[in-house]
Amino acid sequence: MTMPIHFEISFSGSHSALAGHFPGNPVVPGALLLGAMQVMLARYLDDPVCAITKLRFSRPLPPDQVLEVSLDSAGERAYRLRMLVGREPVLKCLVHCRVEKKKP
Amino acid sequence: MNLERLYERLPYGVGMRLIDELVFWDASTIRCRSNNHRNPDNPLRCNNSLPSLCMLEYAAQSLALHGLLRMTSDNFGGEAMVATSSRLECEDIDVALLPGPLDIRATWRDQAGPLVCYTIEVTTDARKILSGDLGVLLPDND
Repeated sequence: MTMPIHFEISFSGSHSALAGHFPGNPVVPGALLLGAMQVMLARYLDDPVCAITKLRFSRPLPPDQVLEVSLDSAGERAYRLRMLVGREPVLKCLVHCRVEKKKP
Repeated sequence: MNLERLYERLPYGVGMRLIDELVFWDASTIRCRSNNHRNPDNPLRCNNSLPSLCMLEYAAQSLALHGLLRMTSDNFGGEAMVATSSRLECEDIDVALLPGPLDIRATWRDQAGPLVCYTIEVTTDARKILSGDLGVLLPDND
């Protein structure tokens, strides 16, 4: 896979997590952001995500905003993940992948 | 301690109250349990699966409950925000397929201003799903 990778995602206000997080003040749960990333990155990376380091959430993410996601190489089986809305950072971290054992 | 009453003092709506049982707590630790990870309508499902990093929300809600239990005043409120982690290790697994209950443990580590840091671990049947540390930014109630 050629780096960097860029794609966009958004979470609709009708997402099942948002009515309860939080009532009257919907915010996309950070765990949902990371979980969705875990699923998305499986399409781009050869090996499964095994760790996240240097994780920082910069601000709450309301629904229906377009998140610009970028993934770039940061060493052996490590990738720099950034999520922005416009120029405002929402999340950044390093993603680490496990070395898959080859099947005999 | 009645979990439902505790949740009433936190900002989560009913559909996002993910902790089913408060097993134990003291000044530094909390242990909770949940069984809703297998529910088809679990609100954190992504593409018909429940990724292991979504377990961060179970840990975050355990921290919120612990913060509430540790408070001596009644003015706890607002939305605390998961802010940082130096390291989280996760299994590559669809948690919705795991038959056993989720065991969520958090241990208070330190506090610097409004940032409270915990060590967290989510397991099922002694299998580690997510572990590491979590820093939560407390709301400004001034």
